[in-house]
Amino acid sequence: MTVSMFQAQRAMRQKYRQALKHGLFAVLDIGAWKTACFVLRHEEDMRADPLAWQGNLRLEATAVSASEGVSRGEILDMRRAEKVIRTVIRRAQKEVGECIDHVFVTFGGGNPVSAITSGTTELGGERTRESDIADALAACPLPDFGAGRQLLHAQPLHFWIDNRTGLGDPLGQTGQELGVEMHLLAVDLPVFDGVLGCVRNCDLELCGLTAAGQAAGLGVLTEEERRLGAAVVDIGAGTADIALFFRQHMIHAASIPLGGALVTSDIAYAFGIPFAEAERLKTRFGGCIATSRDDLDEIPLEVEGEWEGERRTTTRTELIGVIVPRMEEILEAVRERLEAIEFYAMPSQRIVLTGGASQLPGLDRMAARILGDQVRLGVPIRIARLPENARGPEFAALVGLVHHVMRPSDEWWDFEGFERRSKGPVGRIIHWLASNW
Amino acid sequence: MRPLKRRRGWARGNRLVYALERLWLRRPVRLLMRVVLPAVVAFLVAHSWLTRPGVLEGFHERYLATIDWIESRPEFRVRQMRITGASAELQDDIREILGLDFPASVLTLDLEALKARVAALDAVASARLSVQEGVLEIAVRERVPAVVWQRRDGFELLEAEGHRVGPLARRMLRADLPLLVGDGADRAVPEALGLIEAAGRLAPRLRALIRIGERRWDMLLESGVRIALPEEAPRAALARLLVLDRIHDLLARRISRVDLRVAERPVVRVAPAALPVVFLGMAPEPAVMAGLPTPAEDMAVLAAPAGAGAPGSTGSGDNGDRK
Repeated sequence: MTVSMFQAQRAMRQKYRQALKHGLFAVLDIGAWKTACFVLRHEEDMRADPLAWQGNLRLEATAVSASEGVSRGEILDMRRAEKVIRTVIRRAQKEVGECIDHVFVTFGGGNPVSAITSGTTELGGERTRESDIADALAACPLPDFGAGRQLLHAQPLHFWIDNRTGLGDPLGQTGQELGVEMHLLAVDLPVFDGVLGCVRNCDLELCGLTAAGQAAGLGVLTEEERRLGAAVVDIGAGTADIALFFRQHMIHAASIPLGGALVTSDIAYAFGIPFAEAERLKTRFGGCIATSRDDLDEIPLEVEGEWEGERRTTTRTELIGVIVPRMEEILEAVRERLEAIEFYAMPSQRIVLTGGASQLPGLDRMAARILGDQVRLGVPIRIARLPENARGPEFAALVGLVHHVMRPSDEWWDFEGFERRSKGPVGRIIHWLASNW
Repeated sequence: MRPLKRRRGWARGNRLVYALERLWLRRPVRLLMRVVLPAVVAFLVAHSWLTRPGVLEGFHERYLATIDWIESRPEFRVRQMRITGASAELQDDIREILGLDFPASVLTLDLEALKARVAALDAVASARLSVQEGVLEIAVRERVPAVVWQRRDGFELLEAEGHRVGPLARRMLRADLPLLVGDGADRAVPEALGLIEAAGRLAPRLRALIRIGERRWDMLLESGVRIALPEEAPRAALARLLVLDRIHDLLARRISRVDLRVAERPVVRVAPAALPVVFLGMAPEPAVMAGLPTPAEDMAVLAAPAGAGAPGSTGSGDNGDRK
């Protein structure tokens, strides 16, 4: 963790402001299965039809394209991933008729590591100023995330002054000692750089990066759930992203490199059929709980290179038999991770499943068996003008990203202070010059 | 290893196409390509063509020919001019001043300007111009001369309102009209006409009305008697004179001047016996001369109605009026 990393995040914040000023920007979800994009317009004063606006944002267009070169949240083939992003952006641009310059990106995976740290600073009976908060944040010790890691989020969770805890905003409060607890989320640097490079190669400005877990939580969880405590599990094609929310803040995030694409490849291997055909079978006939009726459903298999007339068939029971173990494995992994962070000791054990793979019929009952009673399937909270085909759970992260852009969470780098500690007055002047010219 | 043939995914994200597409979506670029560039090209083409010798001249010629063709259409042609309500002299004047060549075109005739030119003639009170079936109709209302005005350089005919009608070569050409003399007489023609009307039986004997100092009238009779009228209420003064004349037969006497400027004191100058009316440039009439009373008698007559009329007061008032 260095000053340069702070500058990168600050630069992103700067571009965030630029994007709002420019008025038109896109939110982009780079997934293993699909890359989707919403085009949003920002205006300070909503005109005419307030129903068409979500806050100060207005959804102008949506564009979706199948992903290539992305697997388990990692960009394996940058050129192909760029092509996909360009395709999506071109479609969106065509719909809007304007050039899109600014994008906000969410992506799953990246092997996120989450940590909570705290720091204190002396107030000496004075009122708390912003610089005190910055000092407290700067006093937080950084846990060792290991080499090749990039801090993605550093969000203050709550503050305390002396023995008063749970303060959301301590500005103006008096006391002797100000303390802060902060949630840090770091991802693998190559993943971060990959996304950055792809966006840059598409001539776009990256205005913000959000972990998929955080985005999905904002998109799916209700305000009550976020306050009382809930875990959101976004099971995508490549990764299952977990985010734990409590008192409105994300307090933990994790990612399991298992997802719906594995189920598809299992089916493809089991029946010896192409991947696309396997995907079709999964979405058309798939499920998690077999019934006696399923034995009777014959499913024709289209096999590449097979002679005409020679058709193989299978039954739905067999298909479900292939799907179930893999889904169980994914849910077991999720449970393991939740147990590791003592989720089951929390007062509320609400779990919300979302993401493309959560559409498998019967998953909620299977999840209730493995993860606990309070499981529900989540679809994104509706935003104005969201088209019908973008209301499924696979758009949870993208819708959540819209919410996140609308109300960005406080981050460490929004407060001055880190550099102040690390540099003398001359260094600060140089820094000011460097950051302003 | 890099494959010999690039595997093409279905995603079409050619970078050049993408960049061009984005460039095209920029408003200034689109404006440049759609408006500025065509405008520049069109300008250059037009410029290079028009600056070739003969092109612009050809345009001009064709334009003139077209205008000519339209104007010479029979529908627009004016073949002649008809003037109504004007004397032969005035008709000639109007024709001369308009100077139109027929046939002309309606489109080139500026009726308003022509009307202004006709109305500018002194003898024209008003004019109405119209074109009907190829004839330019000019309906003129002529001014009627009411008086002759003698100026230092000649005679002029004036209308009843005082407007100039035209020059007059000799007085005797219009002996029927009264004569006005003096600067500023033209501005008081209605008053003069009123006086002539009020003169009643004096009117046939009137030789001229003389404007004195551009403010009042002197009335000159055939007999050479000069009647000085006041500036205000000259008609009343004249009426008084007529009464005097009827009672005392004043004007038949041998006097040269009656001064009525002071209403309560009319003054009469007796004509000197050695200098008969010849002094006023008029042929003496023996019959009148014979019956003239003596100056002493005159004075006696006038002194009675005017109260304290003194013979010495006549000279003082006269000096200022005579120019």
